[in-house]
Amino acid sequence: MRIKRGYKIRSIAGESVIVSVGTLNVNLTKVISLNPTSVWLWDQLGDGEFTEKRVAELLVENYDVDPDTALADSRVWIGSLRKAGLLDE
Amino acid sequence: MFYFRVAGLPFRVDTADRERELAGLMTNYGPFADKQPAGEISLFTLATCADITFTEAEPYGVYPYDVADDKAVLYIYSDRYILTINSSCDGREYLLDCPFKGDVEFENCQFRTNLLSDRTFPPRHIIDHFLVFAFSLAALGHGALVIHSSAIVNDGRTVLFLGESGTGKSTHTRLWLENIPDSRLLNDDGPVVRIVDGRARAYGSPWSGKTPCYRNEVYPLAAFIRLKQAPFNKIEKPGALAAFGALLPSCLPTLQKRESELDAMCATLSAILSAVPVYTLDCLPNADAARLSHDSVFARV
Repeated sequence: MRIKRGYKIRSIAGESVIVSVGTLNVNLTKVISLNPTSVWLWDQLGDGEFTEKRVAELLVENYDVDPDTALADSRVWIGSLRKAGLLDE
Repeated sequence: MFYFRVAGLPFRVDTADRERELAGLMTNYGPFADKQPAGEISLFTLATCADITFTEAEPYGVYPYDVADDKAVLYIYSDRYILTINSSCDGREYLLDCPFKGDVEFENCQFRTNLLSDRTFPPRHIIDHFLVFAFSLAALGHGALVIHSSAIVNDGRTVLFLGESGTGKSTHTRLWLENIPDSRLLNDDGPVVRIVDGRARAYGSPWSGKTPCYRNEVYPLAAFIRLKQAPFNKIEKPGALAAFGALLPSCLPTLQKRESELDAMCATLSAILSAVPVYTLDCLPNADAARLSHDSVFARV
């Protein structure tokens, strides 16, 4: 999987967000707020391919977290990106 | 040549010497007519051009949408926007060509259209659609946004009512006019909001939907109120991100497809949000709803 092209982190009202707009006829605007860890992961992954395992490894390498927790966190994070329609799979 | 000034920003429409014929079609621009600005650079010139040819390269974005009963398409090329509308009134294809230089520092842009050429009398809503697009694009770099809303003036300040088509913007505005003393309509479809010296101002514009209300006036912006129909009246003040989410869909969607325009739009909205409160109003179409929104915005301290 990879992060869909065309999305980027913007600073709105002091928060880091992803802005997703709909089609020109239908308003499907979504504003997704990212916490600092999400921003960091987003920057690390860029537009490259990644897996649950890769995200977990990044978390273990840079945060004080054990591999099992990291994998669980990775699944939750990927799940929320998927739900927001930000992944190409 | 027509010279206009909207929200303090000058632009020109080259009618190929058809001012007299077209003035009757463009009466909504009358209050915004301006003299040729001396030593001031126009935001853009919309030139009339019978045959528009441009780079043959494939567009990297093609976005169809509807303008009233007409089919429109936005094409994004590496160096320009092309907007086409197939008119169901006269069967013609109208085209707007807006080249850009890669950023949003628009000044003295040369836009082109076949809209006003030879003997055509284009439908008014297409003239307005093209000019709203051209103006909005060129105005982005000047901290100005056309906001799809209905604008009321009260106590020397403006309140903008937002909502998708059919949510009762005009109805709620009418309820203010009928129930809140000293209320006046500024615009019923597309007022301009602009940040000037850190303060948000609302300007009347030539774009007022079905209500002929073309006031060339400006007031400090007191609040935005996003309307939603409900079986009760309730007003809330959402957090900053929800407020942003409420405002963005009311800005021109055709300028949200390219990164640099969306960047400029988000930056201006962010600045507006730090200066102006946003409310969400669940409401019935009744006088109490108007009083509730009025009292929330103009609460006595």
